[in-house]
Amino acid sequence: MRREKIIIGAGIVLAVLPFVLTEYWLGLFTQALIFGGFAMGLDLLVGYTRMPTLGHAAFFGLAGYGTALAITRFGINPWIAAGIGVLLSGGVAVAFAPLAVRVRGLTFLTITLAFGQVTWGLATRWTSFTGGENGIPSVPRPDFIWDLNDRTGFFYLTLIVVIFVSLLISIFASSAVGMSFMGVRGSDTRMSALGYNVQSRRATAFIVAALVAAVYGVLSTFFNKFVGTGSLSWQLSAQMLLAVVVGGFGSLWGPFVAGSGLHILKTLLIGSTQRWPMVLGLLYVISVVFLPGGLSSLVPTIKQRMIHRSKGKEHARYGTNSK
Amino acid sequence: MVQTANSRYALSIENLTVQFGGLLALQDVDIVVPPGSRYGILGPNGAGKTTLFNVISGFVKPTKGRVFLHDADISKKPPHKRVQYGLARTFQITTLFAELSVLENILMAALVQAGTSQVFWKPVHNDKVAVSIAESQLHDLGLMHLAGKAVNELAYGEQRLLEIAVALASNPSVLLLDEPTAGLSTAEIKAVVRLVTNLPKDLTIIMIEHDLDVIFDVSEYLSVLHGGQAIAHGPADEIRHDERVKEVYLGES
Ligand SMILES: Nc1ncnc2c1ncn2[C@@H]1O[C@H](COP(=O)(O)OP(=O)(O)O)[C@@H](O)[C@H]1O
Ligand SMILES: [Mg+2]
Repeated sequence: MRREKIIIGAGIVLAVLPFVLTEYWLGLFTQALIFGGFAMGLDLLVGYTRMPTLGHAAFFGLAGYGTALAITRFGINPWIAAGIGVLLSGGVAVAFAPLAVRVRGLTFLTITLAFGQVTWGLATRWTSFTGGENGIPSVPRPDFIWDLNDRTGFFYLTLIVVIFVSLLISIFASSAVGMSFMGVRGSDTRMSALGYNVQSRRATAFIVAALVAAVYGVLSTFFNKFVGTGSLSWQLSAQMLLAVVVGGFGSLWGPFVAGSGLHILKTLLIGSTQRWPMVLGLLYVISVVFLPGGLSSLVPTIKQRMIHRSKGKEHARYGTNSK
Repeated sequence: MVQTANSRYALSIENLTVQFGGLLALQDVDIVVPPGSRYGILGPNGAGKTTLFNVISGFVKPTKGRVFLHDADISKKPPHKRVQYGLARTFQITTLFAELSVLENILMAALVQAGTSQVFWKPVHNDKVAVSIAESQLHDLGLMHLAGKAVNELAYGEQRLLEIAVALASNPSVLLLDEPTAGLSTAEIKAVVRLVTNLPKDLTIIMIEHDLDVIFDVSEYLSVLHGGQAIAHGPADEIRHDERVKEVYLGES
């Protein structure tokens, strides 16, 4: 419950941003929230279940392409198109998960990378449908209670989605299923011996992280009024994986902050240098060497303080998992 | 004929052979375990004892042979399905969830028993049924004082007890214990023996054990494995005086 309160509190604080930021910075923060949310969802897969993927941008991009194509090629209402985008990603994740979860570690990493490259290749080559390298421009934003074509208006939509999805992730992570993900990462032999279908748990983590990526992929497409092959690239997958590592496995908030921060850093640096991949690599090395527990390890473990504080309280009493 | 014979046993293993490449880890092993008995598996290192447990619990596919739990042929079931037939096991090498608390370790098993392991919409600590199964398990074993501790804070002896507690939270009718006292001090061994002897009488317990005092203390029946073959079966008292067993095993130690 504590984590949910923090999410709502942080959301309220962020709601003042339109009053203090310029248009440019507000746009940058909107995207930062989107990538932070993407990384938070990925934490369920990479942090909780320890399934490091280099292909999850595929689900971000597929949802964006699905939405953009539905609107621009088929004239479908943007809200319905958004649903189609998410369903497309979700459907592909459901189809691919049973295959992907059969392998582990490096093989899983490469198979997800290969999968991502297939989607990227498809978007790049199928020029007549996807626009190829040019992507799909002029994707209209949906109508809403307030004007979404206005930067502030779109920021608030994004903030609401981020708060809502983060709350869902937070509750999910503390549930029986969330704890079973931690069990799978700890010992899948033990988990099977206790009666858990380990493959299906791994598949669930994969699909849930894909759905979260899909929601943010749609938001990102609406924000940019554009979707391009970059949204399917392995570089984006790597950036998100790095966000989870730098943020701290399984803390949820750490990957969120790191995912947001990395996006801001990337945007600021890209004006002056083309060396983003090098910066990413350096950041990775620095974080692994100097901060192996990630950002979240800087906060003297919330877990321990939690146990300490709640001695005598009924529910959190035995928890190292409850936050 | 096979069917009627099986109904008399909590567990029966027929004609079991396991081959790892060129190595025959188990060869034509037959074992029957009466319900509610304390059954010991004895044998030197590398005899195939753990492999036998791995086959019973479904982690190793046998080259040949079948496994029955009560009346059911479970030979083809994956490990997680065998839990539904009443099987639980511990591991020779402790495989607890190091980052979780003691209660959460047991909760992982209790959730399956409560039927709420699929719940994703509320915090696991609010699951009253599962939490109470887990707590009463800890309580029954006198381990309640450890509930809030993280597993990596526990002494090794406590971890071995927790290993058994977690398996018991699966509410098994047949419990497999793989060397539960290995590496423990005399006092810790006593604690494990006390825990095992105080378990409900209708629970069938099959225990691999190296310590001869422990195995003769706890078990009513024994099978002796040697080089993948079951060289003797019978009541503990008879095995103790069996010449062949003395030769290959008791003589060695
Ligand atoms: N998964 C495996 N692959 C190959 N060989 C194995 C495997 N598991 C066990 N063995 C071999 O089978 C033999 C029996 O091992 P094990 O059942 O662990 O013996 P015990 O538990 O009686 O000490 C040993 O020689 C061991 O090296
Ligand atoms: Mg062994």
